[in-house]
Amino acid sequence: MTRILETKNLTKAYGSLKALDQVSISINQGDIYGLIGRNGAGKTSLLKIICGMTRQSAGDYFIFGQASAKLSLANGRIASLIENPGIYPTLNARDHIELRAKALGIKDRNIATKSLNQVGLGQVGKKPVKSFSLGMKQRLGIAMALVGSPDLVLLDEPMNGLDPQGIVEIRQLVQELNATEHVTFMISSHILGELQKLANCFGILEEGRLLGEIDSESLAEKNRDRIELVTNEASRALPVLDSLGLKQYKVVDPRKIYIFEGLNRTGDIALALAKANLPIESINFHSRSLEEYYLSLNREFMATNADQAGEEENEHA
Amino acid sequence: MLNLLNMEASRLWRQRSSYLIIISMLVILMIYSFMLDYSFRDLQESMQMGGQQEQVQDEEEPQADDMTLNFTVSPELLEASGEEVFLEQISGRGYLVFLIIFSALFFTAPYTHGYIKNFIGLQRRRSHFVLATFLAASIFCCLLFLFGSLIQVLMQNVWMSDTFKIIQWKHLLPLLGTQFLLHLATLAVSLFLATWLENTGPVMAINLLWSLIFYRPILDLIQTVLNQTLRLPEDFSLYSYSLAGSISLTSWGASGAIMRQSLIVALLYLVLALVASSWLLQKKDIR
Repeated sequence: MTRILETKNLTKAYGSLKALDQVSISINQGDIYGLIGRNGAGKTSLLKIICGMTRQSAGDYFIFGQASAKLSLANGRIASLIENPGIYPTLNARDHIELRAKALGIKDRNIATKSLNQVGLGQVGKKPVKSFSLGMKQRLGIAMALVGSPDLVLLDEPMNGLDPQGIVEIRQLVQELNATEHVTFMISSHILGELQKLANCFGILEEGRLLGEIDSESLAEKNRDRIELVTNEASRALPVLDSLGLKQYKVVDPRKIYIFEGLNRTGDIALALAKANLPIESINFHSRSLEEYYLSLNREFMATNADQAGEEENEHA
Repeated sequence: MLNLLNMEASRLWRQRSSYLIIISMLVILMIYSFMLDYSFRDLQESMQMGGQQEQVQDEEEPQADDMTLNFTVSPELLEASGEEVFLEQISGRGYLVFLIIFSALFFTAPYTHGYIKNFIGLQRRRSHFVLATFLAASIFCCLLFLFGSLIQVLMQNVWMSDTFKIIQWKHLLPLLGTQFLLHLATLAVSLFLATWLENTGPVMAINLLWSLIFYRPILDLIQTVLNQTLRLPEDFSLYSYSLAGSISLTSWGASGAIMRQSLIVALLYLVLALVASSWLLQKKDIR
């Protein structure tokens, strides 16, 4: 798998405030990387450094193996939509696409039509963008980012301001581009549910530091917290579970049992229930959602920080 | 850089403000020409009717560096040549006002509307964008001078009294060329202000107020202080080393020495402003 983006101890300081603190991430070609963090965590700072809008204070990043100092991005292999889309209010959507195309040296006369149709803005005509809704402006920003068929697209909160249908459309667009044209995406978002449906790997930032990186498979495996068993008579299943030495379980309703241990013994459980002539309607794993995983990491981080702060206070005292 | 120039030139044509500013300037030039010619004929008639000179006084005596759009007339008007009247529109900073308004709008737009985020990351050398946007704005300056001069020539050589006909092209054109370079330098200074402040209002206000009002008293004050502290040559004038001052001094009848000095002043300001803009843009974070 080709590594398309790598950061090494990337740091950005504004005076004494560190917006980013030694962040090291890596993204492979074809990934959809979800960047998660609260407001002020450093997501936008990270994206701005990678797309060349700001300079890092320390550390470096590599795109297609090239270090930032030697990077020539003029070929348009990277595109970005950072915060709100930059648009001239009195120009129309077509003008914006054409200006972007000119900046990239693209001479395709149909580029505006293709790009606007791709994001569902094909019918806006010559309306100036100042009359666009927030969602339409967001779509235009995404359309501009996709001009020139970039290999890596950085999207900062792309679903902001979109209605539910718009969110679905953008998700489908990202998935389609990723699947058919192998475009790599790095997306930051607060909508963790959407990000979980979209991304295949995640990076979690808090106070400028990377708490962890995880892919979706590991996320599911690591965050399995129970087996959910559905049978027509839950009470008859309890002695079977007891015979297997399983004690931590909970009867949720007459048909459903949650088992909190022996997560690698689903085969044994199923076999034992079958021997006891107990039909199983379903047996599957439940995993913590990305949101729950993020919150748990956050709690650990806060607890660690509090401990460290306490130790420092004691030392000074 | 050519791609960025293409983008900025394209933006120039797509902005309504570009056309509005040129049209406004042309309309004002035409109105001024009508008023000037009317005043001239009126003055002539008064002279012929018994030497009573009608003077319509403004609040102040007209100075060489006042804007000429004040319609003040005096007996000197009877002796004014077409070339003098032509250049007064430029040296009186009539063109400069429109150029400053345009440049403030054009140069700050990528920052105020955030469009700069869409392409600046692509550039390792951000100076390419500085040059590209300056060259695109220079096209506007060319058009301003071209259309402005055409209208004036048309008005003066066709419509207005014979007195205002422009004949001495050989002497006029070098002065016009120097003025054009001085205006390009002002454009470069405006670009520096825009790169630094990123806000249309302050850029326009600083540039207009300095170029029209404050440059003279402030430079005179600095000159006074310098005269008292340093042994400067008697004919040294800080005013003549400023852009606004050089624009005022490069009028009809300006000597070759003044023209050469103005050219040097223009080139210096132009290069310094572009270098400073490039350095600033390269260093700053794009918000």
